[in-house]
Amino acid sequence: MNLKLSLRGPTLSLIFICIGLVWLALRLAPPALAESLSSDSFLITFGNFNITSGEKTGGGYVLTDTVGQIGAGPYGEYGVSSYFLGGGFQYIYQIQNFSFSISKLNIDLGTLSSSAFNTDFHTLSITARGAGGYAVYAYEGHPLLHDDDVSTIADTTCNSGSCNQVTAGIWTTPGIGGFGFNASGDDVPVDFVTTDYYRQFANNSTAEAMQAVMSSSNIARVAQATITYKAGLSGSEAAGDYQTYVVYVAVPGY
Amino acid sequence: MTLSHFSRKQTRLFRLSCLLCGGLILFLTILMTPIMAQNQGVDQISLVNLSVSPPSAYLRLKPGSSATHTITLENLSNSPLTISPEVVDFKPDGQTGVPQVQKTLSFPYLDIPESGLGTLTLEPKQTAQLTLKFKAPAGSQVKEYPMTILFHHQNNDLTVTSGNSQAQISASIGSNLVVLVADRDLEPQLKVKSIQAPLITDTFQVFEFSPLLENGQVSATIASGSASIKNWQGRVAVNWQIFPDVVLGQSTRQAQALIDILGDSPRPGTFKLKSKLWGIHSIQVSTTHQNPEGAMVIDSTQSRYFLAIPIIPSLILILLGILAVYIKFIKR
Repeated sequence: MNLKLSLRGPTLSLIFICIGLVWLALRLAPPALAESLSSDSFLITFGNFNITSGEKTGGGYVLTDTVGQIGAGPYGEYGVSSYFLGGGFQYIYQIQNFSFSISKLNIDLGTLSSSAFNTDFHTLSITARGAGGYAVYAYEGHPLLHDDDVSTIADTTCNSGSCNQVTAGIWTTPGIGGFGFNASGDDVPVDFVTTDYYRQFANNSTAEAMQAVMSSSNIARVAQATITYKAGLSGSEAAGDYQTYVVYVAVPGY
Repeated sequence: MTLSHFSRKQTRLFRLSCLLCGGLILFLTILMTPIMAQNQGVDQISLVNLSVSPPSAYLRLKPGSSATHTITLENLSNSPLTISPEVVDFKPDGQTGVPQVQKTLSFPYLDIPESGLGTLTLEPKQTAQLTLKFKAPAGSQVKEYPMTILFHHQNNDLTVTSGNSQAQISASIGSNLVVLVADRDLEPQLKVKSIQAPLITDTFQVFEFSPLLENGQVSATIASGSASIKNWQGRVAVNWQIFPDVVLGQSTRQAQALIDILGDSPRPGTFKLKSKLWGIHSIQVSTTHQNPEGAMVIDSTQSRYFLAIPIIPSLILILLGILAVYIKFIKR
């Protein structure tokens, strides 16, 4: 009995240690590698991408080798069926991955009315380790379109009637209907002064150029922005469901 | 060996040590959980999460030859994604390295199969490689083609909830490729076009300037050179190396300073000075390149003068002077 009691401390400790080690092993375990498949256009590789990329580009890009290099150029010697990424420490950043994620793909604006706005939001995340930065552009396929394919809810022009796809404005009056978005967080355009400022999406159906909703000329380590969608009726629109689609295009800097 | 070999005091001490050790490991485990969750947080919350490599690449294509370029795409999200690639032009914005993606492609030497680049479905954590083939006929014009390879995610979840208005979201991710059609490397022609800086600056404030570089050559080149601030005696107050950004052919780009050059992470930054300056100073920016013989060649130099004064004390002195003049002459 005494022995049992005296082992309580070490036993508890062993349990704690085991839990910790198992947890760490599960969290840190690398994914297993498997095989590859290919087609005319694509080579699909199962497994850990990072290993592939590391082997391809690791040796030739040493940070301190090219500090102070005068004549570095982006184009190097080229051989048939090959290409050259360049030599110089700035390419350290260029061989890093560029990644983009969206937290939600279906923005639910509910049943629209003229007495109140309906909103929904999601988060955009960017990791861009390139020295050239990045940009995330956005555009809508068309303004919110009724099921009858005729009626639309116009893109918002905000309280003042002057906001558009380039310039944000305050949009707080429920009687002023429309569809628009606010951006807040990292690297968003400066005209989104507060969360009451909204813009239209660039309308692809009228050939408006897509506009940046996040942009930076610096390295981004998980830059995040929240996009809030808002819609309301002016009172003259047909009742029913309205749909559109919005496309986000993330491009790295060069 | 049993615990009975130890004295009661030793046993207590042993128990206490074990408890402390176990508790410490559990504490560290709990402490690390949110940190590691944060690192993987993007994966866990995202419905679409794509990664490309390389973000940017440069390829010189000799007229009369062919080449390939491979881009790797990875699906980091937890669900399958249907992807379709597209190649379009991009234009520089003239200030930064952020590309202005266009809707069309002007590059005529991309060898696309008749069936197009196709679509594919990427399973979670799966990677795919897209290899583009280029072939330039002999005698092709020397020209640079900046392009972006876009991977469009197709949102197939078009479920419409009756009674609700909705916006369906799609994502595209790009990888830049700049192709120079030329049979040799071209001599850099990088100049300092202008230096943007205030004419008068406050001695006690941060002084900042930004040089604009212009590439007169057809092909992209690496920004190279230095910038310095000199006082009226010609003494250098501070000197920077220009960060080796790429300036595309026939285009401009704002130069960035190379900061932390001797530290762990040399990186781009601004030409900014916190030191107190006093009097007339000049900013001098030079671009350089190395000629084939290995000698450094200065391409262009531009200077810009500015006056650094303590503005508030100066204003107070001026006001006091005006007041003195007013009292002494006008009031009399």
